Amino acid sequence: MSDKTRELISALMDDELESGSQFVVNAMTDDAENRSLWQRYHLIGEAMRGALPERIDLSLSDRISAAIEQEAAFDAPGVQPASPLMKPVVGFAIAASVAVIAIIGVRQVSEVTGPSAVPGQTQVVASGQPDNKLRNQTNNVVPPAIPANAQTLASGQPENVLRNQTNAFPVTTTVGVSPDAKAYLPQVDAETRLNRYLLNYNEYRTNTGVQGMLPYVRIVTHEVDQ
Amino acid sequence: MKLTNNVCHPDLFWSWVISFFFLSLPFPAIAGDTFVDARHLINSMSRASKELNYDGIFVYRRGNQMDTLRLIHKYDERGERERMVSLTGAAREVIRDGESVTCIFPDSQAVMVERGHPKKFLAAQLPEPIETIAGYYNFSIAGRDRVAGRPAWIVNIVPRDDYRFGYQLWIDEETNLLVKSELKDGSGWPVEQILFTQLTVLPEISDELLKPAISGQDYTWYNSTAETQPITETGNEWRVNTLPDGFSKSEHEKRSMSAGSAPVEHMVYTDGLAMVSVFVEKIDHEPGRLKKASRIGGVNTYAVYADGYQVTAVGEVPQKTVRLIASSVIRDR
Repeated sequence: MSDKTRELISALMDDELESGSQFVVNAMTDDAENRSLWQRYHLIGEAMRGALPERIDLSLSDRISAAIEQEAAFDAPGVQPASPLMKPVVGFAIAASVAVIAIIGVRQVSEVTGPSAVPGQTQVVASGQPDNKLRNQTNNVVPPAIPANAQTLASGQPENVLRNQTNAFPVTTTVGVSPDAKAYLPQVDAETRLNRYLLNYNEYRTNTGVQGMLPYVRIVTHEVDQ
Repeated sequence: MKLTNNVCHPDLFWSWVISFFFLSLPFPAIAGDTFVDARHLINSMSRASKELNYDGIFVYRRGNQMDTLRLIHKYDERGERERMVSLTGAAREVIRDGESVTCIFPDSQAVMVERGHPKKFLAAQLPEPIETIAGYYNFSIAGRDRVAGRPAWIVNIVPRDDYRFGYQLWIDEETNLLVKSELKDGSGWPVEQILFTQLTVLPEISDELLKPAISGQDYTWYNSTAETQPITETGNEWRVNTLPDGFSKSEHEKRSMSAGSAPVEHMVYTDGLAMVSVFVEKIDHEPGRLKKASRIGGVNTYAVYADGYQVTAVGEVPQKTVRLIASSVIRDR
């Protein structure tokens, strides 16, 4: 792999690519090494943000890719077939996106079921709108923090391609998460917790004490200052 | 939920501020042949902010950050409705009516809906003995100024110790709306400011203006309005051992903050003006790097971890106050 490709993938990930994104996406979908680089970059990013769970199943997106490859519904009657060029792109984008959601999903599922979650029982549904499905299923993710990460991970053009294509994509593939993916006792991260507290504080603040300052202004503009 | 007569009824607050003024010395001010006193002024502001239809642009500053926001407020037979939208950065919105509070975060494609709360009787809103507040703050009319091109009165609320912030309020002389406010630290430095640059009072506000800019499609919705929030009177385990003078507990409840999560114990302390929330949440393992102190504009937070629990104090008070309170939380049984 050339340094140039590496740079381009990095730029795509950071959303800094002004042109040529199609080339990079193609390069990634065609090349397993490039795909794994894309994955590694995201892992690094997540690690730097301290947003990694204790275990991640790195082969998940490959398996989803394979499952989508075989998905007959893609060519079902009445569904506008995507162009041959787009098909692998979509598959890849969904796989990447679902991998992210899998992490979040596993975290959330475990949050509900607690440490007794049985290995292999957690299931990830890859559907046309994987993130919505999964997030709804686990609708206790209060804060914007986690979805924001998800967006970052599945960032840039692949995500957009995905969104444009999802309507023609009635895929429902069920993928078992490997035993390794569990064993993670989930914790809402600190920022999430703080956001929830702030919202609750505001709820009380609106009818207690001096009200000159429009407390919800802090929700609208919230970034922690220090 | 017990106390939370939520959302936007500033008049409830002002009603007891007014009561305070009633009990305190009058601060008359003479402007030409107009006689104004603080009680009258605050009373008028309270009514105006609730009962007028207005549409304004204001600047919100905290620390080095400045944002511009638009505030649209409507009052009709359905009561109050309000929409606040950020004009800088992500187009976040908060839309409130009598029934719910909806927060829209386009930056993370998320929508949070919290339940509003039915209005309570005024008496229920009155805090602990009003006279006690007089021991911790001084109130006065500080003079006149001009804001958003309009003349305004300045009202000062100054704390007597450094466990709380002070407030300075600018009230439009013509409409009695709040046009500027500052939250001040012990040295008088404004930690947070709101300044209207434009404010229009209108005969009516179109419903269109109160609708969110986004459809919410493809967004993740976190709706807690349908959830019942169990409150247990018994079983509260924690209490704050050391409080600054004047603070007392006004609420104590346990609630699940999201579906399926363990209940969080929530205590509310107020001196009548300032308010501090204390949250106690069981966490499964000690966070590796717990950030103890955070600040969001005029709100300070302080977190401590002990025995599998995280205790977090959140309040529109100085850092030392939330630190003192969070650090003194003890298990009651």
